[in-house]
Amino acid sequence: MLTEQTDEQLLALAMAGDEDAFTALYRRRQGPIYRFALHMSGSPQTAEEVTQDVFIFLAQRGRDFDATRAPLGAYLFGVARNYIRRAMERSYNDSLNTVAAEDHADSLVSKEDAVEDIARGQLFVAVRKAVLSLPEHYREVVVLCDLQEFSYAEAAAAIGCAIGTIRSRLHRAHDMLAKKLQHSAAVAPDISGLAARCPS
Amino acid sequence: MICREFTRKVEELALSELGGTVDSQLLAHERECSDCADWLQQRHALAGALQVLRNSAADAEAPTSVEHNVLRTFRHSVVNTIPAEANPLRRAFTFRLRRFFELGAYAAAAAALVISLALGVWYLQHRQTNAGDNSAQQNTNTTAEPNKVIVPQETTAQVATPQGTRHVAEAHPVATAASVTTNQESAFVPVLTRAQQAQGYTPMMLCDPLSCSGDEQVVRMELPASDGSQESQMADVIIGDDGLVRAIRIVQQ
Repeated sequence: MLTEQTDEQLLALAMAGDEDAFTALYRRRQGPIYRFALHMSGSPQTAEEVTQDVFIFLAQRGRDFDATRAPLGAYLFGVARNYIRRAMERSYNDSLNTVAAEDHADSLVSKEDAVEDIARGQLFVAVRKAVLSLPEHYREVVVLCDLQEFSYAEAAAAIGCAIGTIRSRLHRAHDMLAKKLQHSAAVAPDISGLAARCPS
Repeated sequence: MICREFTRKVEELALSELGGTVDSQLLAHERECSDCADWLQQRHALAGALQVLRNSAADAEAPTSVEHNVLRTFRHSVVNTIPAEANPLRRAFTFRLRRFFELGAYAAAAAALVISLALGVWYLQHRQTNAGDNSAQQNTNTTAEPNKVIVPQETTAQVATPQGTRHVAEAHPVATAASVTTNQESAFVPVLTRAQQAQGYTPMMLCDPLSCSGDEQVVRMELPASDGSQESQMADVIIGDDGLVRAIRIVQQ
């Protein structure tokens, strides 16, 4: 029955003291928030902290949520963005992020097709480094639209900007990613020449 | 289609949608323009690279420890702070608590009012007591010096000034000296010593006993006749240190 409720209905029940409703809301929304934080920070620890902070914030301040201003999903992403920004400012460390990405790349290598898996792992590391090196507002749109498959409208609601802004940022972010990957030896030959651009 | 239109249309598509596009104009331009074909190929490659990254965390979720922490916080923060209307179990207790504070506020206001009234009454009584003490002390001084002040029952004096006009000084009727201390209006009384009264002096002014208790001197003056005759009359005038006439006595020559 709770699975049929909307996010806003579940939140209303939760704020009335219904723990089952809050649990259902958490289980419905924690995955996207966690993955968003993971892609934004590159660190599973940071992603866990951000996810926990977001839902603790919701438990403590959920009564302040105004459904007329934005959907609950967008509201949670907005809260997550703030916590990610704080976490990155507090403990941003390129080396840790790189190690985390390389550790994750090792898990992609299987014994059956080692050569292909190694290439895939290298590609993974290269792409992750490139995404993490993007400026925050470009990284956000790449994570939301390309990695979490949000529509432009959903991404605009989550970030709180116009759809045109999402589109232009995404275009700019793709160009930056292409240039970064062009210089990466790990992604040749598939992504070599990415920076070449239509002259007209 | 020109290259700019081609680029704009491709950018309107998500990277994951590039492979499935069936736009005939796009396909035609891709065949005609090798640069745009290369650029589109780069976008496909980028989409593939991002697909690897997306797949790596497709099912990633927060560990169960996070859920336990969040739910524990929820129990502590939400269940303990939900409004009483939403929790019938707490409604009665909260109502009683609220009533207690309301009654306490009423009691505090009533106590403050009672204390204010009591302080006001005490202040007024204290003020009257001080005034009574001062008057009693003055009465004591008056009785200690029997030749100092007497209070006539009713006195009217008429004095003819040198300019021929008449000034009438009417003393307020005062029964006793004790009543002077309690009656504010009768605090200003004609002041005349018993000796002066015995010598035939007539009080000329209403005088505050405190301010008229200074030194006095007797001056003999020649007054014009009041009946229009040529003969003047001599009078002894008691003048206070403030220059005002206290009493007068006609001297028979």
